[in-house]
Amino acid sequence: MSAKVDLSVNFAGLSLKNPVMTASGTFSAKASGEYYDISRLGAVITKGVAAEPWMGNPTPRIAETYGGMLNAVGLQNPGAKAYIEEELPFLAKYDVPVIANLAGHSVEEYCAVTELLNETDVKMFELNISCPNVKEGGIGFGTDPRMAAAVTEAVKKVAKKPLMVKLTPNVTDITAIARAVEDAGADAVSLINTLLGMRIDLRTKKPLLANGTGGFSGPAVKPVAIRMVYQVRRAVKVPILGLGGIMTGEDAAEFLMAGADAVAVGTAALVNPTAPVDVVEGLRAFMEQNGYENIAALKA
Amino acid sequence: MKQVVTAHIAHNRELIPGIHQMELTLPDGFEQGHAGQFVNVYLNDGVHLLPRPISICRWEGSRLTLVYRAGGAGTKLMAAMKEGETLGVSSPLGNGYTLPESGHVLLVGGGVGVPPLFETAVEAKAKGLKVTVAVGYRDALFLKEEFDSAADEVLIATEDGSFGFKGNIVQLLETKQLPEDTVILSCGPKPMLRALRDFAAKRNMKLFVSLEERMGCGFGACVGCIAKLNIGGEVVQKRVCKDGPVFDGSEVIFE
Repeated sequence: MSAKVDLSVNFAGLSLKNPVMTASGTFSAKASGEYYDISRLGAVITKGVAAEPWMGNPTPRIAETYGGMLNAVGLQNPGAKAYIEEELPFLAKYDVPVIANLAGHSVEEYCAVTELLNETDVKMFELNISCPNVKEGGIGFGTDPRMAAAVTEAVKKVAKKPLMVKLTPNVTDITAIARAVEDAGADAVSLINTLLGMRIDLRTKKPLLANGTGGFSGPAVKPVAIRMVYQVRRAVKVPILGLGGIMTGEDAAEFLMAGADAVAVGTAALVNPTAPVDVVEGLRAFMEQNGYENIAALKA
Repeated sequence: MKQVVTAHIAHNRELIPGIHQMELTLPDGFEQGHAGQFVNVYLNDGVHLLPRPISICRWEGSRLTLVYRAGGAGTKLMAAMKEGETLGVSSPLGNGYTLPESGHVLLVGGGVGVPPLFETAVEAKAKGLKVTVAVGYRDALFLKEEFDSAADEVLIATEDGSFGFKGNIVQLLETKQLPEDTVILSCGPKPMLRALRDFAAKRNMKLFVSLEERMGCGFGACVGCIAKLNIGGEVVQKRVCKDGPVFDGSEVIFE
């Protein structure tokens, strides 16, 4: 058996040393970088950034549940200017491609942040279309094929980097949304975003989260994510970033076998701060043990 | 680098109903925490995934003492753990208290905000400061002997009057003469901190408060726990786990 395995992948034109990324919203260069060398990752996807600062939701923003958690951070972010002046220079010290996750309340806002980040060293954009569209009654862009396509097409027109679109699982048929964004020009899709959930406080009889609902994530959601990656693989040709409950290298392998071309580690990084690099090493060990020389062999 | 290590439980016992003390043995050479910081405790049971952020009650070399309330599912599981069992423990987190170079510190705590004041009292005393501890309890006392040994003066209030002053700790402080150079370091429920802010403002004393908030990661990545501060008229959101948990009491917006 070959002891040396090749984890490198090409993902939508990006050459990555391995297929493991951080999932948006669970990574902070400064905080996460205190636990591991960020350069060991395939790529990092930074926290959702909008053109202007967002305050996010009131607290509590976090609730725990069996094998997972709910969050309603509300995409608090310092805006594109602070992102460009603080987060990106800090990340430039590492040998790792940066993918910027973009947030907006309207097509115009998505395009605005895209244009602000066009001239940076960011290597790819990930469009978070799970935000509510304030101009269409607050319906999530990602829950309607027509709106998902419209925002993808508009951002693709102004984007000077490859565009990945992050899909929400809170839909009847995720393949319809995936096809719509592929037709609208998406260079890749990432899935799944969090599942919509809620918990009730037994003392107050009201929702635990100040926002009421929150995004459910963690290992408990993994079978839902695997199923959706498997379905979307059969619906579109563009590369897929698979995520949702990955805790270990074996979990990552499962996503790759289901049809993902790369994977992202999210909630696991809150449970174990070194989880993203542990997944890289776990995947390497899994491939060595099973005689897979490269990612293509693992997926075949 | 910060890390999460395996810690062995040396002792775990109930001090008063609902309040437990756990002594953990840490690996040699582990970064030592200081007053007002906390550690993330990982249950590693595959079900309760998020860390429990728990304040440092005392840290001596490889021996870490945590005093915690068994209130939620995770801390109840901690309370049921036995000597010899293991937990994941993070490197010390958060900013902690900054002790003044000289003078008098008044350490004010209430309920489960009392434990971190013990490490603070020990460090303040070692620095040569005059230390007054003022702690409020509902009824039963805990850590009293520890405070008696570490502080110059210990003031106690109980809600039911079963020990010391009857009422809350800020009401007790209103009756006291304090040196003008007193710096107040506090940890406790929000109503206590709010009353303390007004108390400190009236007496023109510096006040630092340690805040509690529901956390996700506990190390600054997820932005789950935030406090709102008023800094020069501008509302600023800070992460309790990373930028805090200790903030300038005059800047915190208590909602």
